Amino acid sequence: MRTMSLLFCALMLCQIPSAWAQEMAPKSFQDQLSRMEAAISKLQSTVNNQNEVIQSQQIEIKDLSRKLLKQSAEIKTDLPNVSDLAKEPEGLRLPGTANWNPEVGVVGDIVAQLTEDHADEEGKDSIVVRELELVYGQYVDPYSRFDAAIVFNDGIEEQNAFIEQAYLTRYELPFNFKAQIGKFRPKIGIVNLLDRHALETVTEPLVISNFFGEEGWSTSGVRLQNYIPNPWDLPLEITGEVLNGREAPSFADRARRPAFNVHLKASFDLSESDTLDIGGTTLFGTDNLDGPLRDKGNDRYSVHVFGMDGVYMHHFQDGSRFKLQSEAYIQDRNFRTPFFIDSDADGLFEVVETGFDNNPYGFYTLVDYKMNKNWSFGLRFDWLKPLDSLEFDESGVATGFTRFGTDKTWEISPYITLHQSEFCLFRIQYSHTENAQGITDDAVFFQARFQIGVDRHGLQ
Amino acid sequence: MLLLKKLIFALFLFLAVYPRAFAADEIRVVTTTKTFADIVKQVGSERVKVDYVAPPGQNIHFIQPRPSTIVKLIKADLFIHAGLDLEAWRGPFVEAAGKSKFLPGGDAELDLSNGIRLLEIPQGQVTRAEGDMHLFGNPHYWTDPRNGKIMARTVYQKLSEMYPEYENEFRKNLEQFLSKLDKKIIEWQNCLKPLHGGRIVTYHNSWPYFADFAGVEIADHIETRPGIPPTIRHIAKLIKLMRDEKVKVIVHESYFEKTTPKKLAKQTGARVIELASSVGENKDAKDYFAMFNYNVNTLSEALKAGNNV
Repeated sequence: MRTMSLLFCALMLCQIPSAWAQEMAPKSFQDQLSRMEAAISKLQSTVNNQNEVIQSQQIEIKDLSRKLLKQSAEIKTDLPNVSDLAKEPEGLRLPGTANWNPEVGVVGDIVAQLTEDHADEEGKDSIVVRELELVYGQYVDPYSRFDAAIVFNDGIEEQNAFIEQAYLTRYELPFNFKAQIGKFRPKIGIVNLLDRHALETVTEPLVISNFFGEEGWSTSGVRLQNYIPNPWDLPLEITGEVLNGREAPSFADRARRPAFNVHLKASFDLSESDTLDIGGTTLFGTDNLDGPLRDKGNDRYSVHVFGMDGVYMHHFQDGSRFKLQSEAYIQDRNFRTPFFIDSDADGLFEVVETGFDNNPYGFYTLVDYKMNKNWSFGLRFDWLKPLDSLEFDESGVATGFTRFGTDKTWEISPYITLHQSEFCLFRIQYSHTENAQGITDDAVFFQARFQIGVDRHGLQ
Repeated sequence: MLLLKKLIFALFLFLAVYPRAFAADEIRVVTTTKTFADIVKQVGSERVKVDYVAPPGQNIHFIQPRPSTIVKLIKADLFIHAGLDLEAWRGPFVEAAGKSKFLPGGDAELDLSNGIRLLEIPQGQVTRAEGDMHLFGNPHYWTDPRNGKIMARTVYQKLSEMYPEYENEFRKNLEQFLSKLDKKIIEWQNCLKPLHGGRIVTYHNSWPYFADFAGVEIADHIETRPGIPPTIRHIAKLIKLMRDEKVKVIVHESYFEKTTPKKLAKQTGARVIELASSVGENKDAKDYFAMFNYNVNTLSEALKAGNNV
C-alpha cells in the first residue's frame, strides 16, 4: 500500500507540472504571442518609418546627385584628371633644386663705328664687343630680391670686367617704402637708369655722357622709393638716394662726402593710347679737392645738378608706337678760383685763374617711331655746353685744366633699327656733331644686340 | 634745416595716415588682362573693383605697364595673372609695386593657369632657336570658353578663401556665370559644328585652344616660328600649302603687321579675319561673352565663305 501510495505520489508529482503547464500554457503563450505581435508591429512601424526616411533621403540623394551631376557637367568635366594635374606647371616654378638657381641672362652688345674723329691716335674706326653683360637675379626671401649685372667689355685699349650693378631690394618697408642698397644706376632722369643695350640709340645723349660718364653713372649707395598717395590716384613717384659721390665727371674722383639725389615723377594717362611722364631731378654732390683747395672756400656740396625729363607715348591701333622723350640738365657749380695747380710736377703749386664756367647745361630730344614688331626709326638732337675740368696725375694732383665750356656742341643722330626678334636687333646710326669752333665729326655706327637666357623686361 | 625736418615729418605722417583714411570697402583686384578682369567682375560682381594692366589690342607678351597701373596694384587686395611665361613684364611690374603679397607664392596673387589642361608643352631641351618658345606650354588658354569655367571657379575659390563672408554671394554669381556660359558654349558649338575639320592659317600661335574648341585645324602660321617674322621662303611655302590644301582663312590679331597677311590673301584668295584675343580688343568684343560671340561668328562666316570645310 505504501508502495502504491509512493507510486501515486510520484505519478502525481510527474503530472503536476504538465497539468500546471497544461493549465498555464495558453495564457503565457498568448501573452508572449501578443507581446511578440506588439513587438513585430512596432518593428514594422519602425521599418515603415525608416523606409519612409530612406525613401525621402533617397529622393534627396537623387536631387543632390542630379545637382552634383549638373555641376560636374558644368565644371568638373573640364577639370584635368590626376595624371594631367601631375604634369601641370605651377607658375614659373621648375622642379627640384632648379628652383634655387638664380635667373641668369646674357646680353651682348657689339658696336662697329666709322668716324672722322682723329682725336684718338689709334683711330676710332673700330668694332668692339662693347658690353657682354651677365645678369643674375633671384628672390632672397619673401621680402627681398638680389640683382646683379657683371659687365665685360672689349675696348680698344684694354679689356675689363666690372660690376655694373649689384643690389638688394627690400620690399614693404614702413609706409610702403621700397629700398635698394648696393651698386646701381641712380635715378637721374630717364636714360641714366637704363642699361646701354636698352637705349633706343647706339650712343648715350651728349649731356648724359658729359655730366655722368660715357656709359651713364653707376655707383654704390642706398635708394628709397615710394608713391605718394593723393586723391586723384595720380602716380607720383618719389625717389631719394644717398650715393657715393664720385665716379661721375660732374663730381670729384675722390669725394669724401656722399651725393644726394631726389627724383620726382608724375605720370598721366592722357587717354587709352596716350601717356605722359614728367620728372624732375635735384642732385647735390661735391667736386672739391683734397689739400690746398679745400681751404679755399669751396663748398661742401659745390655741385648742384637740376634736371627735367619727360616722355610722351602714343600707341596706335595697329600696334605701332610713337615716343617723344627729352631730358635737360643745368649745373650750378660753386668753383672759387684761383686753383692751385702743379702744372710742372715739381711739387710746387701755382695759383691759376681757370675762369671755369659754373653753369654748364645740356639737353636732348628723341623722337622714336616703332612702325611694327620689326622696324623702328628715329632721330635724336643733342645740345651741350660741356663741363670744364681739371686734369690730374696718377696721385690725384691737379696738373692742368681745360675749358670745354666754350665748346658749345650740338649733334643730330638719325637711326633705324631692325628687331629681328624680341631677343636680337640690328641698328644703324649716323651722327653729325659740330661745336662752336666749327669742328665737325661724322660718324656711322652699326650695332648688333642679342640676349639669351632669362628675359626680364624692366620697367622704365 | 628745421623746415626740412618738418617737411619730412609731414610727408611720413601723410604717407601713414592717408591710405587708411581713404580705404574703400570694396575688394580691389588688378588683373593683367581685360579678359581676366571681366571674369573676375562676373564672379565678384558689386563686391569687387577690377582694373587691368595690359590695354586690349597690344601684344600681351611685351607691353610696357603704365605707372598708373603700378599705383593701382599698390592699393589692390588681389593680383590675378595668366601664370606660365605669358607676361614677360610681370616680374618687374610686381616688384615696382613693392608688395611681397603679390610676389610669386604670395597670399594675394592668383595664377589663373591652375587647373588648365595646357597644350603644346615642349618636350626635351628648349632653345630660342625654335623661336620665342613658352617653356610651360601655350599660354593663350583663355581663348577656349571651356577654360573660362575653370578660370571662374579658380577666381571664386580665391575670393571665397580671402573673403569667406561673401562666399554665398560669389557662389551665386559663379553659378549664374557658369549656367550662362554652358548655354552659350552649346550655342557656339552648334554654330561651329558644320565647320568641323576646316583649316586656317594664323599669324602667331595664339589660337590652338580656340581651334580645339571650334574643331578646326591650324594648317600653319605666318610667323616662321613663334615671335619670328616671316621670311620670303616661308611665305612661298605657305602660299603653296594654302593653294594645295585650299586653306581660305587667315586669322590675324590687330597688333601684328597687316601687309603679309594681305599679300598672302591676295595670292591665295583667302580671307583675312581679325579675331579678338582679349575683351575690349574691338568694339564687338565688349565683354567675355561678346568676345566669343564675335570670334565664333567671324570664324564661322569666313569658313562658310571660303567653303573651307
